[in-house]
Amino acid sequence: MAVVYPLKLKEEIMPIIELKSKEDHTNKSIVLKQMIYQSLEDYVVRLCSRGRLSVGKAAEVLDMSVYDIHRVAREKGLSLTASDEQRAKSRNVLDKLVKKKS
Amino acid sequence: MYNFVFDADALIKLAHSGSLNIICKTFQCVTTSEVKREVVDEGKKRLYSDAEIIEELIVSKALEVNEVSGDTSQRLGKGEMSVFSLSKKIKNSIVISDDRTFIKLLEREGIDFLTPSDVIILLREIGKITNKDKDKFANNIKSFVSEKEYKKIMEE
Repeated sequence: MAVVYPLKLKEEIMPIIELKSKEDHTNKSIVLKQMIYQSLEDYVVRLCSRGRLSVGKAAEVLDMSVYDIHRVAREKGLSLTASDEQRAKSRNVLDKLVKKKS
Repeated sequence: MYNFVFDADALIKLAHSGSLNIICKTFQCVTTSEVKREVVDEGKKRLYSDAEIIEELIVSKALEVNEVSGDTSQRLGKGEMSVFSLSKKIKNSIVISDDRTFIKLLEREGIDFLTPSDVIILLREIGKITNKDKDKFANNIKSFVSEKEYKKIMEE
């Protein structure tokens, strides 16, 4: 669902927006929307790497696939993995399984 | 016998590593229809080759798919929530995930979990793969994990 949100912008940025809209052969609203989505993508992937949002939720919010979220994270040099403490807990489970098998 | 319940993140990383086939043949592996939609249907639409690997395992029934829907959550996706529901339904389940946010929920609920890297190490520990295989699989997912984690797997 789309929402309409009022936004105040500095007048000085409008010539830049206009320039980009001409370069991209599109209108100013779309340029502004693209810019918002680009920074939203960056913020959302950073939330994932900090453990504030899951990869699946990020994919839903950005209308991307889970593969895309990993690709974006790699491009930004971020790794989407468990924390050190979580890895230690996983290690305990691993040790338990190995002990049972032997 | 333990049931390994996979989320999308873990399936993608392990498929990419080249080890998912061995894992599914060694352990009882299961996921949900929501995760299948995320990794197979969405992946194929966007031409990710790992989606085909996972689909083949589902078709051959090496990876079982359960019809479980997930509740909606502010921080977790439908796939992760469906894995959480499934892990509570199945006895002796261990969730396979590398998702920091999802693991927080598993920790709160006292659900056992393994990271994809530890599943690869487990294969080596029980003699299903060699040390060389383990290093090869770890190399394949080097770009998915942190430098620190990569070094740790290689040192194992």
